[in-house]
Amino acid sequence: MVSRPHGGRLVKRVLPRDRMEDILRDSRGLPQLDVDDTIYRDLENIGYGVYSPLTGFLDSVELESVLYTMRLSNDLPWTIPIVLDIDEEARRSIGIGDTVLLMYGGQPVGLLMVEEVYRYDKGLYAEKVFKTTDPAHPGVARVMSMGDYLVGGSVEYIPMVRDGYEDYFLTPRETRVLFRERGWETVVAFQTRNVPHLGHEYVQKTALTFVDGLFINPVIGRKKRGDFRDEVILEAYKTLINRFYPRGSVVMSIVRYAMRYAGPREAIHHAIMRKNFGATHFIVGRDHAGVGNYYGRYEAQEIFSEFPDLGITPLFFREFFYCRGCGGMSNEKICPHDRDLRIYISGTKIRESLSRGIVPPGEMMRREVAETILSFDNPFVD
Amino acid sequence: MRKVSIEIPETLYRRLEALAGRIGADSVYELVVDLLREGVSRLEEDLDAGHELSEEEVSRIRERLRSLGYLD
Ligand SMILES: [Zn+2]
Repeated sequence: MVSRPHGGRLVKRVLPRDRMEDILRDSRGLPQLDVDDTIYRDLENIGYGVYSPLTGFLDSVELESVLYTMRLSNDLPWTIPIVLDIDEEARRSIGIGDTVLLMYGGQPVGLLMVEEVYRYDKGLYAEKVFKTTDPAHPGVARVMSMGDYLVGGSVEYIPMVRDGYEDYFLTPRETRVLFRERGWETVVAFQTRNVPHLGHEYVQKTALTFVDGLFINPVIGRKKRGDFRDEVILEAYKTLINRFYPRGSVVMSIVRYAMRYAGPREAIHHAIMRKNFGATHFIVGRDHAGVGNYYGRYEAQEIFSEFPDLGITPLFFREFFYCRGCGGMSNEKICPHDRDLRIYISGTKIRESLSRGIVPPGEMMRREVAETILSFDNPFVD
Repeated sequence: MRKVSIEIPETLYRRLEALAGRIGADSVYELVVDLLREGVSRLEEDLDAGHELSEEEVSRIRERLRSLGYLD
């Protein structure tokens, strides 16, 4: 059996097609709110049940519970606030009980039933979620730039905006049917925002050795300049899977999500999302969802001990490297050799090499994967 | 009776304790057994009612998975 959804039920809050036309025809009378990229993606994840059991944006009681206890008020683990912020001007235009049309890039993307509008303490929010109030932390910076009010209320997602990745996206309902059809009882999920190097491959294959299936779940979304473009990541993975993974043991599909860089708290959130997709295991590596030096190397692994009731099993990995002493890929837990016999895989080196059009060393990245990446005119975000 | 030992979050335990006091249950143990009995029946009902997906939904999903190459 694949995982039970978080909280027991897979949420579905997607506006049915027949109602969509009515709503859009009558929508001119509704108050409207523009939402940013993060909220738009959260909306989709609420809609399809990736965030089950959430049916909308947190109210003040739930936010406080999440901030202080890392749980919803019903005690279910939940570590990242899913909130919708508005400024003073927007606050004056909506009232409790209103249905608001949520807009993204000029298109309607959801309906919000306003249940509460409330103020919140940004400093406290940042300190609790990110363990810092340093504005240089990208997650903190976003919180500080948010409006002064939050709106709590349930939503209905309107799947209207197209980004070209529709054929790569499976909803939790779809992945659950797929895993069942494949006869997988145990599924390990891997979250990624990067092109695959040998370290990723060995982590995935080590995990796959003990379970029925591997679910590779790249996060598509806003990226920094110099990051690999989303289509490059997907193509690189396709090459790796087609050439080097057993057919029938791997599923790759995307999730649209804006990273918070909340390290340990976000690792729990990532695990919950994958549990809702049906995964039974989740890979957590070094500095998962971290940024800069805000979190300890393995803090995102340690936090799982506080959630024995999470309902998905974390698999903790140390970094893989190539070791001349071992004569192959190895990691700190299994290799007895000196550091100077090891070739550590460096994302920076790989990026540097690829940006000059050169295939990185074979101990770091497979040639076939590198060639796929180099087949793009510019694999990087400008 | 069968004896089992499980780990539960500290916060949940504290709530159980408080609740046991308020409703006059003799112990957290007694309350937990009651709650489990209730929860198990509810889950069984859900499963019997086929709560998850209708046959029609499943076949629509299968078709999409096939068209995208996820299923043969
Ligand atoms: Zn070694």
